[in-house]
Amino acid sequence: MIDIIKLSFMLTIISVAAALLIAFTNLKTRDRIHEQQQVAQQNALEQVVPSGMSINECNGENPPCPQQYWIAQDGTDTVFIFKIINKGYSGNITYFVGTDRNGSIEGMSILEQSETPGLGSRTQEEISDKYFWNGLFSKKETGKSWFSQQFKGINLNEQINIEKSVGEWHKLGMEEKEKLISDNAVTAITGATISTQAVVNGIQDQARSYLKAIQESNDDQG
Amino acid sequence: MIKDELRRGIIHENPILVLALGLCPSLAVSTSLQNGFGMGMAATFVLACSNVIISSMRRIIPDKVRIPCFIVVIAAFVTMVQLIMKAYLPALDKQLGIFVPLIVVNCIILGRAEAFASKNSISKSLVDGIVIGLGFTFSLCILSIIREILGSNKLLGLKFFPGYEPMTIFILAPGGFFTIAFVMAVVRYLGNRRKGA
Amino acid sequence: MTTPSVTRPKPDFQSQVNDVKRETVSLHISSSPHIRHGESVRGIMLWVIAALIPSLIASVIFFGFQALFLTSVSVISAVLAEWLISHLLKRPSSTGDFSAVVTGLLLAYNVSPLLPWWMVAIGSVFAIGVAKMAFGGLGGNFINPALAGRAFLMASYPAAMTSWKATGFGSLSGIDGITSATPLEYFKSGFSGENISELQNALGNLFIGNVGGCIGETSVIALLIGAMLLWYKKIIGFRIPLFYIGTVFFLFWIFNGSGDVFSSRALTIPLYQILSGGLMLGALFMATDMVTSPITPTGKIIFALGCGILTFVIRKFGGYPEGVSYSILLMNLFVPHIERYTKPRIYGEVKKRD
Repeated sequence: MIDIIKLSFMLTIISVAAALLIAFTNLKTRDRIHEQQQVAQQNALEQVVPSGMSINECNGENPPCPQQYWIAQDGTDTVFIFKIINKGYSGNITYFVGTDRNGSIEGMSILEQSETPGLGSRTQEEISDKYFWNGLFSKKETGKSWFSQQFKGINLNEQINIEKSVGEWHKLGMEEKEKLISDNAVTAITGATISTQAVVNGIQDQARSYLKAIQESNDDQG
Repeated sequence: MIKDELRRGIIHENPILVLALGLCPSLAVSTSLQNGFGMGMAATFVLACSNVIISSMRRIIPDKVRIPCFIVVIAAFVTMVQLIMKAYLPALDKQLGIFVPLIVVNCIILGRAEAFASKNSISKSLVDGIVIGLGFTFSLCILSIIREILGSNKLLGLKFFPGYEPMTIFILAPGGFFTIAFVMAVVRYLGNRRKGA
Repeated sequence: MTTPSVTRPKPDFQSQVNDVKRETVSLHISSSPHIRHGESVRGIMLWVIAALIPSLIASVIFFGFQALFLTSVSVISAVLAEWLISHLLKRPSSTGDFSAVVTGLLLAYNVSPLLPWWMVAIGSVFAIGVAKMAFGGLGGNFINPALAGRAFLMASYPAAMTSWKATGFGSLSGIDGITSATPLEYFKSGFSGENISELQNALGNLFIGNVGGCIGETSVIALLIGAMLLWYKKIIGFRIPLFYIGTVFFLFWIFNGSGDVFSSRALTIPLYQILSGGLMLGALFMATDMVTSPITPTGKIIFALGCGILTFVIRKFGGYPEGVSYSILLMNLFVPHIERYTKPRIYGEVKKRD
């Protein structure tokens, strides 16, 4: 009896100490993590629209409208940006999709994902043309990932196809890329069809209904 | 002394290639050098810290509940590493994703706590944590260099061979098994030859 | 044979002892089996190569000399890899038994005629080096090396492995309007379920091999000619091919998608399925591989049923249009277990009660 009390007492002490340690670290890093997330979100938003457009946050009122969305405007062009969360291969994939009024996708960028490194995580992969020996110490270029670039021009109001047989988008020539757009198709990441499917499904299920809901509510008002 | 310890951690008691511990995280993160190195360093940090703490508490921790105690200590350090990475190294955090929490159940760390830190002095345990961690990092780097070059023709995200068509299988799990098997075979062959000579 | 001749004089005792001594010295002691047969690994492999020749001819007719070129590359690299590895490991060279030639041929038969030659070479080296020699050479491999090579290429170069060439005689699958698909890809994605006559019209082309696909798998007639030779020489049995193909036929007949098993549709779909893709090549030449298939008769049937069910499941529900190679590979892994449970009882042994 005494033994059990002693054991549980020790275990409690150790657990409490560990919890205190974690709490302290959390306190110290919390603001910084929040800051990083804001920066990441802003970067991701800016990648969705052509540079120079001002992005404003909006709040949808009715349930079919998203609670939070963004409108980017540049003269007469308007781009709606939706935040989409869909279940991927492991955990959620969070990403932004920008679309014009007709449903033609302006841009896409992945904000967060926890897919398998080297496979599904390649949704965020940027392709560099530089070779190892002369690119290692030069400045890294930051751009959009090839996976999100291929969504530009795809219409989300129609069926988006996933093309598995032609290889990945960044290896294709101009003509093949144009053919993909005319087929309303994107290429899959090799070995990560589920992640690709998750991104496409999220666009088709969520962004499509968001766009419709917002247009309807705008029509009601105007 | 330091040289001997390093040799012990990296060659004679290399956690992956000789002890065959921690194969699951090795398979998962050795797809690119950046991931492999990042995972290795994170694991080394956790290993060194947990070894020190466990060694310093080795007289207080009751024998019967030692495994839960070890796990609590390790989990606390992993959570700290994760928070720090999120705050200061967001790029690496993005890449490693779900694998950092998995360090908790990495058998290398629990293995060293059980086999070494709970029986040896603090300074010895710290050294052991660092050298074993470096051995883990070293073998992860070797595996990931091979796999990244063969599987995606890249190193650190930059192209490697001009005109080489990457073999996708090497960044998939089967390729990971092949690579580990062949690197192990080479290590054992060299080891045997040394013994024979 | 030494039959004592009649005219031989009766030997004296001393010479008898000498004879016994001499005999004792030259006695050859070995464990069973004691009966020697003229059959050798080399002989069997040569017959298998002969049986594969008709398909090679058919592939040259349908796909041109590129098919012959790829096959030669595959065979040469397989033999070179085997020679080099046995040399490096200081083992007696096993290139003389021609098993590497068979592996090379079968691997080439399993790839698209458009595959770059160096990919075939890599596949061959993998098949010999990893799937065969790393496990101890011929007889030690637990999976079919050629199929392992194909699976390796499939995972490494999925795009190149699934781009197909039209045959020299018009449309690719023998079905009008399809230009870039094998018959099975058409069935999986293009076939709507109504135009059954298209499938019926394609059956003839499928039988002679005038369709898109891997080098050696398309021509059913050529494969059957080769298999006849092997059946005649008793190198392969009937059980595995019959039960394998039969299972696929039966399952596609029952689950033909219409719910009716006596219509013309119900017979066309299973016929189309067994004639297209790599089923014939797999069932006749690769599932029957002596090393990687069970040796017991019941085991052979279980093995073939398993292959058939897996092929059906992959073709019907899987992401790939073709599943023969994966189903044989998967069943290869079960062979030790199948053999364990189908081992014949020793004569006179009483069955244990549970």
